[in-house]
Amino acid sequence: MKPNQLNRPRFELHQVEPDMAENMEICSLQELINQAEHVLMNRRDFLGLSALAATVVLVAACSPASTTGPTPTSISTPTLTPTSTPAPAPTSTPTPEVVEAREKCSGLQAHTKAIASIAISPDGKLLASAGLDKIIKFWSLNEGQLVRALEQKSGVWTVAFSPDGSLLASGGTDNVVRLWRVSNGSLVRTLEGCELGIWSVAFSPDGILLALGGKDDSVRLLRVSNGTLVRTLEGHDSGVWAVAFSPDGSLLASGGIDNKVRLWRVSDGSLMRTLKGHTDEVNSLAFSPDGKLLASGSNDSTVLLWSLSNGSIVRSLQGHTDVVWSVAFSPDGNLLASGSKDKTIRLWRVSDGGLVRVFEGHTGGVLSVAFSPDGNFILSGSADKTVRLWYVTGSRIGPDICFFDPAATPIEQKAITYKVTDSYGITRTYTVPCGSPIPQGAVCTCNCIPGKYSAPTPGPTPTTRKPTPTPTPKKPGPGGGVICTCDKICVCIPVPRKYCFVMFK
Amino acid sequence: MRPLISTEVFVIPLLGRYLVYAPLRRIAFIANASAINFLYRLRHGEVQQASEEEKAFLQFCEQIHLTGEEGDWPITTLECATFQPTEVTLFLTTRCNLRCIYCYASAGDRPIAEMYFIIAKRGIEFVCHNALERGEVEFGVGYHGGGEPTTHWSVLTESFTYAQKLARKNGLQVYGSMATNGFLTPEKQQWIIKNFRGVNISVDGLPAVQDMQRPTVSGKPSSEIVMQTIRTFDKANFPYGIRVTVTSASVELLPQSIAYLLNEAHPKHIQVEPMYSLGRGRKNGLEVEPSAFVQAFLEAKQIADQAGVDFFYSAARVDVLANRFCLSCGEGFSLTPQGLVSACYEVPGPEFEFADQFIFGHYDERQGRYVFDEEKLTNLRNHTVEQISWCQACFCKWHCAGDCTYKARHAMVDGQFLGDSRCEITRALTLAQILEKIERSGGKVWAEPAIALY
Repeated sequence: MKPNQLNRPRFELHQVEPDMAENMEICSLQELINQAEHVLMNRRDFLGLSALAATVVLVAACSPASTTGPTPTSISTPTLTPTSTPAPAPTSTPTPEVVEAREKCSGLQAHTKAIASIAISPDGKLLASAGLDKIIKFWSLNEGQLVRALEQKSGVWTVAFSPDGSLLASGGTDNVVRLWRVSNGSLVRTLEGCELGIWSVAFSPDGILLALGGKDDSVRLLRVSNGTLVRTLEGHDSGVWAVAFSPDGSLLASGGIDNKVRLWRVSDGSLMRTLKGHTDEVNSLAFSPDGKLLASGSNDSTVLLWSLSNGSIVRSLQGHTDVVWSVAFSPDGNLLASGSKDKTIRLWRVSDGGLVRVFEGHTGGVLSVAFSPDGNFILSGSADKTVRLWYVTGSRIGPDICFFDPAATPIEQKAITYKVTDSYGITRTYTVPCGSPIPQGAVCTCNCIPGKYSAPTPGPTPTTRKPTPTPTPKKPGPGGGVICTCDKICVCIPVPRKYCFVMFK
Repeated sequence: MRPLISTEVFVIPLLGRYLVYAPLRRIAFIANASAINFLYRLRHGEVQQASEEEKAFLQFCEQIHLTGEEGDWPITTLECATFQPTEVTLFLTTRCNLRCIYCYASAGDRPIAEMYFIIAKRGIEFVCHNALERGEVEFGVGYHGGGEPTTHWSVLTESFTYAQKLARKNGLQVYGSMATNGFLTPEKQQWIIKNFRGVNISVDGLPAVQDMQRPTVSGKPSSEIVMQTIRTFDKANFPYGIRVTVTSASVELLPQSIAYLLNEAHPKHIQVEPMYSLGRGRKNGLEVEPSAFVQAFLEAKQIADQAGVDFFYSAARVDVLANRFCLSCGEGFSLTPQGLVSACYEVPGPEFEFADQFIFGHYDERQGRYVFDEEKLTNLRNHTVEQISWCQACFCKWHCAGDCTYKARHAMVDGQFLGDSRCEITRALTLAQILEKIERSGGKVWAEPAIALY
């Protein structure tokens, strides 16, 4: 700042504009802090706040948490003991917040065709995505880096991690279920599945059974250890789009083209209840973590919440304007995410069915949604060939993680890569579209030599990219971030066309 | 009616209220407009007959000793009426083994200049002599920047060994100190542990930040060796402070950097400063926004507070009442490699800007003593915050005391200081300290007992 832009400090004792208070008052700091918090709550650009407000925040942070604050004390008595009054009640938002991320990760594709299914490993470290391009991809969730790619002979409709995270089951149009070892990408077993393609797979919570739903009207239970058919559950009139185990493993829910949801007893395969309410195909099912509710998403654009105790519809969640393809409960069961052909993800409050947030940004329908194990974010896989990460709070609380496979991205699309080190000293690498804001302090590590970029290494070992870190001065960008300018030090990565993957025959 | 408030009172608008601050009485509280206007009337003797409410407020003011003519705390100023320093700082070399992207001295870009032993010896003898004359029990030898002192190792060790001998001979103690980049060999680390009382190490935090901001001459990472130095010091229980420089590229990572340093190291203190717009820092475009610095600093301070480590920015010091920021105004005695006497660490050679104002003496071979430009020295000694008109209505004036004189020179227009970005940081962080005082005093009033009561 140039000197002549500054105002001369004027803090000498001077007369001030009288306020509404007639009495002279000594105010408590807590009251001021409460005021400051109110100001901050309504201002997202924290950095833009005056330094005064920032200092108040320090004191607020030092103060014990309290929901009440002392009022100003009138000086009419010399006693300066503060009195307490309740703090303002938290305000509720009548309309849901729409979180747009049209530019975030824009153009950086994960697959070359629609992504039909995604799954997060139980330890939250890996994301599996699969689609009609016949490739299953594993991504590191904390960086968005492609770790491994596995090819099937046909399009993949569904993937699921085993409860211990050691296996991934995949099913698709070639009628078999494949079990992959997550640690090295090896194919453990191929299981005979449904005759007309497998649309849905689910592991039982104990990892012993695998349920399959497919086009041939039946639900099958297979033993994971040897692939034997344990039971065939028959009752659906047509194809089964979705299967899900209850958290205790005693029930299996299935739903499909006949608009109905069926609940089966796993122990003996008997039909416990048929849930009727949807007016179109049922695409997705999810049990609440406490096992009391079942959510179903349907072509009728609704999400229904069912009580498992009596089979009644607890709530109908309406808001999507097109087919609901996927539903998922948050780990604490308080929220439900739904992905739709209308290209949005909606976040619902389970307790009252209130719409909390709408995430917009996909340019194609959302075929699959999943919560992270910590419940902080949602991942979505879309027909637009991208996987996107959405922070549940609506505000970015971590880096923009783009799931970017250069081999799946159009050649004209360019990206930058940067490294940033967290509070534990762990350095992570992220890839974002050119021009994206990157955190201050991040170091651009883009490959600056056109044509020399290395695609992920084929083989069972995780792919790694080790660009040379190069310090790059950064300019402040929108939102307090920094634009990686892609100058002579840090330039965009030319996206290669050629891509290698592990092929299993 | 005579004014009932004689001490300096500042009023800082704060979210619709006002912080009343009397620095020389060490009093602060938050009040509304009515109270401020009553204080104004008290200050100007306009209260003829107080109402019941006003009487109560007046009673409160008396209670906390805001009123009354006596009771101001003293302001520290020059220790000695004459220039008789007892500590010499040796700018041994312009050479450096790092190429910090913001180096105020542009070390490595300037021609190599290295101090001869004889120059160090004369300076040491001068301060030893002064210590004896002043009846002190010790004198100090410091080694500082312009380059990395440890890259001129022979003169560093020789000069300090000489100082130790001289001290012994005269029945004095000598203390050694140094500002270093910490990029040291194990042998140098051990020598420092054995001989010095403490050092300040410049390290910017997380390895990624350190390596980006403070690379080696060849552009390689420096963090591993610097952290190794720190670990060696910790292992030997050798006291050291850490100095962290923040740029716009590292400001967001400051809290993480401090967490990392406190996890890896056990410094006595951590000093955090925004990058100075001097030397290479003037050209790199990484000047940090004051508000961003303040926010990051406050976040980082919480981490340091939890660890019980003193964490500060040099100009925000509410516990200091002074009219000078540092010794540069008339008490500093630093020697450039050429043997010139500089008042300021940031003027380590005659080629630096404003050297004509801060280099004020040399050793006269013929007379066999140092000779000083009395006019320059007087100017430096007279440079107090009372002389800076810009600061007169600022509530930080007795704390930052006009801040770093050398940096302030760069913000002068027609010889007048007109404020700079450090002022914003200083005010925000000083304000935070005042509010913290209030918080720790029960949340309403901070009023230390009047000095007269001691």
